[in-house]
Amino acid sequence: MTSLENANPLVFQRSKERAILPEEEDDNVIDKIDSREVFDMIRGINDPEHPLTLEELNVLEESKVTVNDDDNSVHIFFTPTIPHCSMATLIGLAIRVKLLRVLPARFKVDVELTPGSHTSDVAINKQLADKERVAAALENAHLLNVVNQCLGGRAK
Amino acid sequence: MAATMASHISDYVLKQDDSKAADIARDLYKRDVTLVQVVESLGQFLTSPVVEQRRRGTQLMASILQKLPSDFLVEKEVGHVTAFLVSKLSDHHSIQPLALHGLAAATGYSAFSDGDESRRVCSEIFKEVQNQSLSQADRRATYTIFLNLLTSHLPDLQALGDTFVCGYVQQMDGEKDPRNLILAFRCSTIICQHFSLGPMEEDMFEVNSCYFPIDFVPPPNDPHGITRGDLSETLCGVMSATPAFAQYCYPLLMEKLTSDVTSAKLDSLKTLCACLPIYGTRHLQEYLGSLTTQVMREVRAGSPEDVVEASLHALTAIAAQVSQVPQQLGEFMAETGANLVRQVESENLAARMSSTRILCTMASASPLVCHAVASRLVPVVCSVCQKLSQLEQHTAFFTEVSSLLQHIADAQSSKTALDWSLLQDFRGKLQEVCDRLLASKDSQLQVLGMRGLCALSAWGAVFTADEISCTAEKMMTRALTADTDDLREEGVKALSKVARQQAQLCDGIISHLSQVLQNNLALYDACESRKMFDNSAALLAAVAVDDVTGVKVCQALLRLLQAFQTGYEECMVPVSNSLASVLVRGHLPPQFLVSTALSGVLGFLWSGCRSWSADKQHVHVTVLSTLVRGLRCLVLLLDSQASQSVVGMICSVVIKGNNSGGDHADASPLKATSPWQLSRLVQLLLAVIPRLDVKKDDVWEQLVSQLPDLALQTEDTHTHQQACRCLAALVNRMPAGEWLDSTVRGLCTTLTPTLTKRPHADLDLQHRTLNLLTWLVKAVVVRGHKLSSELTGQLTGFLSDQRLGPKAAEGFCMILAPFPEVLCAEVNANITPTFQQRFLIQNLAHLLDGFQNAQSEVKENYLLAVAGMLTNVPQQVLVAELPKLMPVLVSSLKGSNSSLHVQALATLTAGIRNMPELMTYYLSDILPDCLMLATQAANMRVRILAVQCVGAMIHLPSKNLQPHKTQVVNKLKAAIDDRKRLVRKEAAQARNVWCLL
Repeated sequence: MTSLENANPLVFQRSKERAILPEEEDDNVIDKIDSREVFDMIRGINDPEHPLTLEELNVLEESKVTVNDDDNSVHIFFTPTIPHCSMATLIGLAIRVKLLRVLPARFKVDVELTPGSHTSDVAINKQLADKERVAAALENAHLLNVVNQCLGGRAK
Repeated sequence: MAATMASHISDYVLKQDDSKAADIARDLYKRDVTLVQVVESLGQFLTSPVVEQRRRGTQLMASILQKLPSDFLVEKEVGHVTAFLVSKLSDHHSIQPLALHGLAAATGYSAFSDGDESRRVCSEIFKEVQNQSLSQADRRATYTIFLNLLTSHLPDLQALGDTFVCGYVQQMDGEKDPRNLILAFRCSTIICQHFSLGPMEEDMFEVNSCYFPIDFVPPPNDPHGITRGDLSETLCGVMSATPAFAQYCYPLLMEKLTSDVTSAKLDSLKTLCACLPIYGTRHLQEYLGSLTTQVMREVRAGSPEDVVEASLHALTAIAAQVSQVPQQLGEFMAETGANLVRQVESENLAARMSSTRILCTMASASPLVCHAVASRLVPVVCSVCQKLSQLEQHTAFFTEVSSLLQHIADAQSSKTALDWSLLQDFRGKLQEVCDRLLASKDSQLQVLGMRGLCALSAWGAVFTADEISCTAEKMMTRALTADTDDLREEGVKALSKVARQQAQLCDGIISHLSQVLQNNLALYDACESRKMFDNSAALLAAVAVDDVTGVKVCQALLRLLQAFQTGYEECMVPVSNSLASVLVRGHLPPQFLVSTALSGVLGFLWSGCRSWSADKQHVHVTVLSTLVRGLRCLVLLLDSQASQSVVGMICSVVIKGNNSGGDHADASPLKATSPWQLSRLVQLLLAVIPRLDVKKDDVWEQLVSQLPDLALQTEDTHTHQQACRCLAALVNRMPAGEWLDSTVRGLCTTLTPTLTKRPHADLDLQHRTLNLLTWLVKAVVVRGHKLSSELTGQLTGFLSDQRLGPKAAEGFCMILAPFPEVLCAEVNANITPTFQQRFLIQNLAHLLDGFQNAQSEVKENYLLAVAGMLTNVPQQVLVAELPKLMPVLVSSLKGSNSSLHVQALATLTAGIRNMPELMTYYLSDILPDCLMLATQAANMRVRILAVQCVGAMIHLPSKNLQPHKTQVVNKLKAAIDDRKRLVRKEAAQARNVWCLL
């Protein structure tokens, strides 16, 4: 087994399940998609290295998810646990793929590294923003398998 | 008779007719023939020179023994049969297994004699039987013999001593089948506990421990139902059976702890926990160091949470054992403890966290350990806490600290005398930490602060009485302004603990809280006051911990009830909640209960509520239901004398009205003309029916005759529902016989004309009548009365009625649905076990026929009735009936009735979990409908259930799902953009799992 990049990460508390409000149970009210909802979609993604979720590692925070339902835009900043993390691209890709699957297609999604959180943030942001590179990455069976493991809940 | 038997026997032996064994056993049981006669007739075969005949003869003997009840034969008979079977053990090799089966049955007889008998059986088995060469069922017989003898005739076997242990070890050696191992482990446990193992110690351990850790996965559809958990639990029992195993067990456990397999680690840790108290200090010292290091490594290594939990338990068990010898504890703490404490101080957050966790959990081991941990850890914790700035990031740390404070409190209140003066210096600092937590913005930290303060308030050996009272006041003040449920609950827990430990503070707390209630009553509409009022009502109820406080709290709450006037409706909800919880606790003295509490509550409901405004009816329902729930639990709790006076008082109010005068002196809740505030009081009956004397007297007569009228004539829906329930509860408790039959028939005769009247009667009246009829059916169905099928038939008849059909169909769901306050076991209802199953089986065929023959516009009613029943039957029954119902369920998805969709989808989802094969078969039928409902149904509940159903399908075999993947993923695109968030949430989950397929 190769050694882990960040062998002993700091673990954060998971936030509670979102409380269900009375208006959410009323069929006549339209619920807009908000930042908490998008955060809920991605917070359970597994870290590629640890049996922990991105939320527990504080890679994702609700405050760094911006959603505008009317303008169909979603913007997410994520923060790798260490500034030279080689998994950053993979994590970004996993977030993108998850949203591709569970967020309505009308949204334009931007996934970026939190400024200053990574040594090569510009390059990685460019890769993540390039639709064709993302699509090409998903053609790669091995890579897709790794991403699916991140999205598929805890390993059995 | 004897001739028939002889022919039975020869048929069995010569013609190989196995069914004859049952005939002979039946004759024996009826005492038509005696065992002696059977043996005499069998004799020629048993002594025959032909092996096959001897074999069949022995087999017949064995199977007769297996079929008879275990107390049937007398000692002498069992003795003879046993002696015979023992002799057969040395016969031909094909006869031996049958003799074993016979002996397994014979040793289970209660008349199997003490003394030499069991020793002879065992010695013969050890001499003649080579267990490893037998088949699984035959080996099982051997273990059954041992287990029977060990459980019922242990002293006889103990006389055999080493011979028995040695013989058993040889028999058990090499066993492979889990079914047998479960028995073998049980035998081993008894042997280890009750025999001196002597030289066989190591062999006995080896022959059992070679299965450790259990690695067994039951095959799919395993009919035997043995799980890995069962095996590992019984094996754990063997390993922890005797302290003699200590020297072998510790090294084994340490080796298995290093395994990569989580289950092996867990098993090792659990076994360690079980073994330590039995082994005591034996050999512990040798392995203590390495064992502790290894278990602690598990806590630190980021193992899964269950392994960490188990490791912490193990460490606690180790500490508890070590603390038995004070000197050993001293050394242990000086070495391991000091090391851990050093890490708590360190800057490495992970190390700090795990060490704190280990130490805090260890502190729960025993007061001595707690004292030792506290003396080292508290100073360090204080200094660490002072340095921390962003408290929210250290929730886990503070959780451990607050649990440590609680352990110290427990240790101080234990009987062990310890010197706690060393904590004196840290009083202020600890309080300061808790205060900071309470003052933080994070709700979790607030809860921890409250918990910490609560623990500190129990440190009787450290804090003075004044300081404790100060702490209690601080907690109360903070809990009063609590914003979150968590903090309020924690405050309630803390205050009730304080009330129990510091009785002298109760008066002050109660009077303060009542003052807060009074002050905020008038300002209830303001948000802040409402919070104070609700919190103080909840806290007040928590303080009622004994007779004295109970009375005082009750009085304070009753004063609020008396002060009720229009405009204060909402305030009564928290008050009634608190009052109900005080009543339920059963602390109130009977005299006070009847004369003050009950009359106060009834007075409030009778006259106080008269001015309740009509637009707050729903609040009245909540208040009344809460009070009724409290009274019901109280009535069930009281002894018979006290309960009778409560029951009498409530009954007289409902039947005769309140005699205290007032405007409505002649009004009664049982009259439909009474105002709704009065007629709803009929619900009070539900509180007393469970303890109402079942006899034909005025009370019963009056209730049974007036309740139907009230139910039919009242305009108030709530009154109607409650009257129906009361009547059903009464009918259900009536003694079987003439009275019951005539009552039920009489009611039916009055109800049917309204329902069948042409031209139609008033629809509301018809619905009320139908509902009453349904409750009546429920009452008789639940008790399994003979009239139930007749009444159900009537109800089924209305399914074909266009006006009443949908209501009648809902009735089928209601009859089987559980209600917590009526017709359930908790309220002493008369319940036939499995009534749901019977009802389903009796009506299913009929309803399906009806569905086939019905006209198209009423077809859905039948489906609704079937689906309604299915949602309320136990899982096993559903599984048995589902195959015939699948076509119906599939067609119910195609209709437009949303309540039908809800029930059909719920049933299908349950079916997917329990019967994957069946559902796979219907997959292509249900999937398109589910997808259509998921995206297009108007009702959001239907959409949610449909999406859940699609998501649950992922558990079906993936080769069957693959062809549908693209379709599902595409169709769910619309569902993830649903207008409702709850639908989107489920759809996102479902689409994600289908994408991962």
